[in-house]
Amino acid sequence: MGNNFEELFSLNDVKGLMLVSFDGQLLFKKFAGTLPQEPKSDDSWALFIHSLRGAAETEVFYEKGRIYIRKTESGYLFVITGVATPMALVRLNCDMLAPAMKKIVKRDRFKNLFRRN
Amino acid sequence: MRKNVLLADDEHAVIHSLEQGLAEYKDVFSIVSATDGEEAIKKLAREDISLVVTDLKMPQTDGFGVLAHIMEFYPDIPVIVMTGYSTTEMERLASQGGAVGYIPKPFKPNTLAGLIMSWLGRQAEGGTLHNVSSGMFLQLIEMEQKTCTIRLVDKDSGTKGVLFFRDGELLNARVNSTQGEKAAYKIFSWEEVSLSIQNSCRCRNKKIEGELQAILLEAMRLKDEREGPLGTPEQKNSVVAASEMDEKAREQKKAAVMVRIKKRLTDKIGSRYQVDEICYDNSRDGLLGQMSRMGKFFSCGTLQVVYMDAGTSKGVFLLPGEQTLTIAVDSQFPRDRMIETLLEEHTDNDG
Repeated sequence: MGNNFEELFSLNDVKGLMLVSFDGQLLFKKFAGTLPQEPKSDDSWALFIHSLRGAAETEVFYEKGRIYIRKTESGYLFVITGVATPMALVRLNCDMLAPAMKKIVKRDRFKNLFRRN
Repeated sequence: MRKNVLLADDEHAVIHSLEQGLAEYKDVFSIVSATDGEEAIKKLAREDISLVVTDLKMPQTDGFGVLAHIMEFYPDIPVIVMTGYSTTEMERLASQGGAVGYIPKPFKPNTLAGLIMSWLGRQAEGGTLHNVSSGMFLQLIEMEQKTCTIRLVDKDSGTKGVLFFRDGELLNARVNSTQGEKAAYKIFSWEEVSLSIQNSCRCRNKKIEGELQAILLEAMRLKDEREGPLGTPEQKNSVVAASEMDEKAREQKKAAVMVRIKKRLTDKIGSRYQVDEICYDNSRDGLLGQMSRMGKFFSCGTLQVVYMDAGTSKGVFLLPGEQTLTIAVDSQFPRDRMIETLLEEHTDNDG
């Protein structure tokens, strides 16, 4: 279970992961490269999370990328990908990750999800 | 001139009570009512609204949805939210969402009236000018690097428009539900206007890329093209007739898009799976606006298609456009094939 986040991040063309709490706090982020601007906990996330109206899954398709948003026990997991990532694999990895997301509250525990067993 | 205040609440008793309580201000503003968020959004598109008071908890599109829609498409219209479930968190969310006032229920109508009058008054706090040429005045705004919202009325047609400036930079323009350069060209083609100045700008997104000078020149060029060398009344009438035909053509185009998508779905996915509903629905436009900004933030390009699990074994696909096409399906619907089909539709439309 410990390597599920790593597996998700290692999928072809996955560019980043973020976990945002239900009240809009940025709990965790990891990106493959450098972004022009780092995402941070600010007001816009709270409104965005609220606007999702509790949707269990949201897939957003752009011209040059995708964002998959999965509701978990700890908040909303954002998977940012390019166009080459098979979304079915992203969904499957998130399904496998779901049990590990339960009861995770402390921020430092997320790093454990990147440890390989 | 009397202004319209849109009041949105799903409880008829509340609306009725406030209409009565605010009746003494009828010389200043009149009430337009809506019983849910969707109706409020439709009325915003149809009527000239100067301020919105919305309940937070409403069915389908709630107060936050209305707020997000207004901040995206009508950022000049102040929004006051009211709620019977007031918490510090609600107030914080409302403020972050762009609300200018927050009022927990129950309250006295005079308290709400005070807030409404205060915000209506701000719309002309920087002064009002009549019978001016907008071009010269707006260049002054640019030179002085002002941050302001300018509300204009064309003396000729009575049409209203809004311009948004931050530090002298023109961010956006709005005429009814038209925004961006298109709205700016329309405003700058007006010969004589009355304008009022609000010394603040709530517009968050820059939707006009060009410089003010370039926009002014282009507006003049387009105006000359429309009017021809003489600009006769007959030519002006033909512009009005052309715009009515444009509206009819737009409606026909919308209907054709729906027919084409249905056919494409049947060809690609077959008749084994049926969609529950295809319609145009702008109630999620606030969310789509936020998703567009998120795409720019992560350098993903323009927004094309969205899928959302709507819960209770239902899903919904959204195809953003001038009007958002919404396709409701059962959760068993082949999602990936549907997305592939809609992306093809988007690409063909762009091409």
